[in-house]
Amino acid sequence: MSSRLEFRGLSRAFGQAEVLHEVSLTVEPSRCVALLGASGSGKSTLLRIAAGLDDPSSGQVLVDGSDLDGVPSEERGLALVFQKPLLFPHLNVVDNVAFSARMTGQSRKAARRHAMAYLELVHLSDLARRSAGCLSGGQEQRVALARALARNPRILLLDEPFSSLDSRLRDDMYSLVEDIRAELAPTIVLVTHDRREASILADSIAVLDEGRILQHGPVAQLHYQPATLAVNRILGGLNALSGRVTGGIHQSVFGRVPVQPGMVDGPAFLVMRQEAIRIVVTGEGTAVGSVTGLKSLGAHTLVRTEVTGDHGPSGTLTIDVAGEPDVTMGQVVGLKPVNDSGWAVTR
Amino acid sequence: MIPTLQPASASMRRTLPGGTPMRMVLGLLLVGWILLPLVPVLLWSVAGSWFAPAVLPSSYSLQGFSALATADAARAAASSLCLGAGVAVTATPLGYLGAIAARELPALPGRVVELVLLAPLAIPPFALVMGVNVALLRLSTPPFAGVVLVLAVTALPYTAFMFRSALATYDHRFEEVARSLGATTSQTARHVRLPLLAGATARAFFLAFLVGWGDYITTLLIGGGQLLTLPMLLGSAASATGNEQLTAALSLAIIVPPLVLLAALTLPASRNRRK
Repeated sequence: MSSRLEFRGLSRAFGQAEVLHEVSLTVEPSRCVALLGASGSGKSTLLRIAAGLDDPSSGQVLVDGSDLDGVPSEERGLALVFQKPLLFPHLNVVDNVAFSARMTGQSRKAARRHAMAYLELVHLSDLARRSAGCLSGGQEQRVALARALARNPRILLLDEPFSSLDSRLRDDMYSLVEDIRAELAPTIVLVTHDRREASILADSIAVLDEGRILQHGPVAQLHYQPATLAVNRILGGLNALSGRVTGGIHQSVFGRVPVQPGMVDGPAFLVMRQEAIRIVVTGEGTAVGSVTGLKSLGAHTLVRTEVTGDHGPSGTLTIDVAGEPDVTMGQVVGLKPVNDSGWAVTR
Repeated sequence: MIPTLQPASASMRRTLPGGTPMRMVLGLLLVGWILLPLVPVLLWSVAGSWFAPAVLPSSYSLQGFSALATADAARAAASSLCLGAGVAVTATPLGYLGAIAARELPALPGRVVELVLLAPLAIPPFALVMGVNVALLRLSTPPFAGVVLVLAVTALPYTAFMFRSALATYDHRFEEVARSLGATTSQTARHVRLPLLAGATARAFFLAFLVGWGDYITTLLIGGGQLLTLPMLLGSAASATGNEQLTAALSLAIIVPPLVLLAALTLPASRNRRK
């Protein structure tokens, strides 16, 4: 069922506006890649081109090495799930799921039998005879997912399919996608603007910004080793301190922090995720900072500090603390990298 | 300074004053305004004799309806039915194609198509018919076909408007989903577009049918008296004196079938909405 999908030098322009620029990306069989980016970054356009619903201005889409240029959407073997479930309102639940089988010429009975297996997969076989308009939002999206899977697609394309669901339903859907991956192992391309969703569902994340892929890599790598400040920002990183790298050590108001090997000497930003900094007793950290803000995130709190030091102008560092931190506004605290090392980027 | 929200004054209110009772009264007045003109027709159709200044007929009879049971009336009903169906069958797909063109074409050509589609509304039927009948005669067009062609033009604005409204809310992504699920273009049209536009198609068909079913002027002038329809019989009966019962019965014969058809089209839809 799963295939390898490759975008090779793909560009798409609408008039003068270039939505995608030389995008190259490979999704290996049975892997899940999340295309993460803000609205207008071109991620949905990329998915539409893969599905054959839009044509690229240049470049190729390859599935298992075969160029899909000129192959109509219905012959590509890719199934697409939109943000809106788009269940056919004139069909009931089972007939929606049986749609692809019916289109291949199967009898109604055989198509429904095939569809029931997929409805069971999404735990909705009880609602098979229900009208498509009489489902909740979560149920509709489950049926949409079952309908796409019932086509036995080589690749499953998900275009922000869970963004209209509430957080509890979303978590249910994440579990369902995990079950589906365990059962069917489809190749999945997921478009989302939600970095949490991307991190939970995908094996790797491709960050798309203004039509260009800024970085593609495993989830942890993108969080802790971003290629650029933009990737750090898109992945929710709150800290970037300007300074200078000399001999593999970044010097800034945060002090002297060892950074990744191979970093050339010169000006660089130290990118430290808020989860990778600890608050310690003054004198034990690499820097000291004064608490300027406390923002509760429920189970976590963001502590904002103003850091001053000998190695550069003052800067702001935000630290993610589990629970309620034992600090007060204005208090001077010590700050220390969790792993005693950091990550530097030049742009 | 951020302004605070003030309660709306009476003049700012958009809802009708008087609440539900007023809405019910206005609704009943509206229904009465539509139904009251039918009361004299209904009474005349079953009147035996009815002389002024009596408010109601002095006797009742079904002679009007029994006068309808003639071969001519049956032929006229069949002709009306064929004419309505012919106009609907012609104008419904044309209206769909026109609406598609108006939607898909770029702004200016799209507007031009809309103008062409709506133009028959601006032209008095009499003027349209007088211009066309000579051309149809020269082309030796059979009367029935000529009447259908001209009435299809008259019906086109209605059918196009129905499809234009339906297409405005039609989500083309249904078709994209269908394509990605393996449906070919023709399968998508048959299994997705057609069912999703079925309501609009039925409404457009109904309106076009009405144009053919109830037409008098075009049938008279283009048909050249060779096409006998129910409105032609009605016109003939109404022009004579002493035929009030037959005239009323003919009126009802023209009014009732479309109403039944309308009910058949709208009642299932409203039941589905309630579900």
